[in-house]
Amino acid sequence: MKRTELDALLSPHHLAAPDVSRALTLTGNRPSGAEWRAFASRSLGLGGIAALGAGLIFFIAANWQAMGAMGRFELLQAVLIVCVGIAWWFAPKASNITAATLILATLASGTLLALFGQTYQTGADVYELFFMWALLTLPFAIAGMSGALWAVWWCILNVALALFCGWHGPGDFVWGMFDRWGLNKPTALMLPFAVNLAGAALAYGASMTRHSGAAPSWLVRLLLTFAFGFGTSACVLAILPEFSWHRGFVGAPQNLGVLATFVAACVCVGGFALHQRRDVYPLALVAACAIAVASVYLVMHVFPHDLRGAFLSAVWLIAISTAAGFLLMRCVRAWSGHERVKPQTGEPA
Amino acid sequence: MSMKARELLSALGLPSGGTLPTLRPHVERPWYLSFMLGASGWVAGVCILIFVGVLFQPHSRPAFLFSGALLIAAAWGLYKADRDGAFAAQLALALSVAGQVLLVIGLTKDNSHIAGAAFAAFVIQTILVFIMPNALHRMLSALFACAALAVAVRHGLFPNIARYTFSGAESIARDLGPTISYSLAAWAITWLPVAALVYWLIRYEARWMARGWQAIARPALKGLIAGLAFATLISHPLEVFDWSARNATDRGWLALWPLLSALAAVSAIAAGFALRSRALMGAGIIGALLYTSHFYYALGTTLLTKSLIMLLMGGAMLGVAYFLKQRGEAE
Repeated sequence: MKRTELDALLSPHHLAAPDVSRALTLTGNRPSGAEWRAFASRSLGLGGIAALGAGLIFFIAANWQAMGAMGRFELLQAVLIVCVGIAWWFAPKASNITAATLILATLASGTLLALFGQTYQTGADVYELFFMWALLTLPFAIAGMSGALWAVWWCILNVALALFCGWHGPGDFVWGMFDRWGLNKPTALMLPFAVNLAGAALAYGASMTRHSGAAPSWLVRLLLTFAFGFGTSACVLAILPEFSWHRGFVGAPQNLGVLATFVAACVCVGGFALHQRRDVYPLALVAACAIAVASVYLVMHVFPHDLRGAFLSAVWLIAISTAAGFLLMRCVRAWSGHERVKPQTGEPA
Repeated sequence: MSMKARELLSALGLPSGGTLPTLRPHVERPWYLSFMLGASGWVAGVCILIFVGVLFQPHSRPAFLFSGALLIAAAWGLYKADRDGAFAAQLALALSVAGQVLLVIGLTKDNSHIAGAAFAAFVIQTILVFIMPNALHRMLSALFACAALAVAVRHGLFPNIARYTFSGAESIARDLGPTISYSLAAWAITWLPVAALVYWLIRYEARWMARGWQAIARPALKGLIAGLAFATLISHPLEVFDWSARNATDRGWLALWPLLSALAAVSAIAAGFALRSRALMGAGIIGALLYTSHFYYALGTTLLTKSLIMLLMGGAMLGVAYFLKQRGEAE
């Protein structure tokens, strides 16, 4: 029983504080001492791993002159080997330690690549570093079979995609090697959109199998958020022709294609969520992105750019967000019973 | 009424039969819907602010105060008149946002000091936590009260660092000296009261529930925890990623701020755990990660020092985690 339900249940009875305290304990709303200890141990463990990883990255970035290049390489390689060794040793029995050390190994791999670039001045772009990082650490993610590890890996890949498609995009040398059709920026941003959407679909599929530990529900949500973030950015750029630079207005049909693809993806994701009746989050994401894109379109192309425009924008935003909130809450209410029955594997306790 | 509810009432010695008042099935609004509605309400509020500003063109202090109070009163009336109406709630939030901005402008019109404006915003937000009959509004007001308090304290007590300029680092070093005690005190004065209030609200939850303060205390607690999670990011957004500071190492121990804020975010995770709220725990985790990256870019001290701090912290955390695990297994 959640606290809000408890509030509704107890408020007519005007209980004394000790009774309310007892009710909180009986309904499991107060963590016990053992739960607090387990929580603290787990959080500190994960925090410690993150701090060590960050400390390692900071140390290499500091470019400490007292330690030679070879010493730094040796240090990082030693960390990498020790992490992989610990993960290997604990692999079958302690999945938490395996995942934590593989996360550290993933961070150490990126630092090693950065050190390589720093030492030998390879001239590689930052996105190349991130792509290589993602590629080299993919085996760790597969071996670890942990949601947290996959989340770290997807974050690395998304930084690479954002830099490649968003920051560089058409016009970049490497991009030009693949681009034979004269793609514009909004179309380029549909690549990370598609990749993340495919990732979300894969994670959702994996959550139905025995590998559900590697694909918790929050990972699916995270990937959908990445996907729709890129998709919304692409659509907003497609709506604002002055920002979709390169190739003049040759990109206009592409912009229409971007919008059509995004709408189709929204329909598919929304339809699937309605069919599954498990999680309202994808619907909320679709609604929020649709509101954002539609609002930009209306403000830029439909509403007058004066006092009436400000008023209409306010009315539009209030009306559309109200409608979306109303419909989504109906889904939450209708599906809540179903959600409670369905176990959420891999969620934090 | 579910069996769990009946069992609970029986356990508490309360009548659990069918003669009890019928309880409406309560479904809590998910955090992402609150976020969507809140964000839309704020943007709509800015549009209303532009509309009111251009249409009525208030220039004098009374005009600002009157129009601000009027909009807030209208928002309060909408909330009261239609408590369950989603449209009215969104409209009320937008009106309230516009009204708050006008009130702050009215209160600080002849005084350009940022601390005064921030303190006015803090007072307004605090009052709104108590008077606005809407949970989302109360939560947002508590969150922005935290941010306003942070700005007011920092700019009021330490005006020499109260400059949102890229070259502010030099004046900090010259005027005050960025000692570790100064840096810690400035941060503690700002955020310890918020953390203490969160602790008090969690510690004495049963007491305020018994007094029937749920409608105010529950959303306010969520807002305060969110404030802890995103404390510095909200209050000092322009300083967070100030990469251009000249003589940046002169800022010295001020570089500890993001790390301290990461600790605040960790306390938000703990508070979220105490309330069994995954959303608040998630907010704390995101906050902690953001502050760690902020710490990298906070150019107050050398990266070598920062790396040592992080490595020592990491080692200590792992040590404590191991100790706790061993102790748990022993028991």
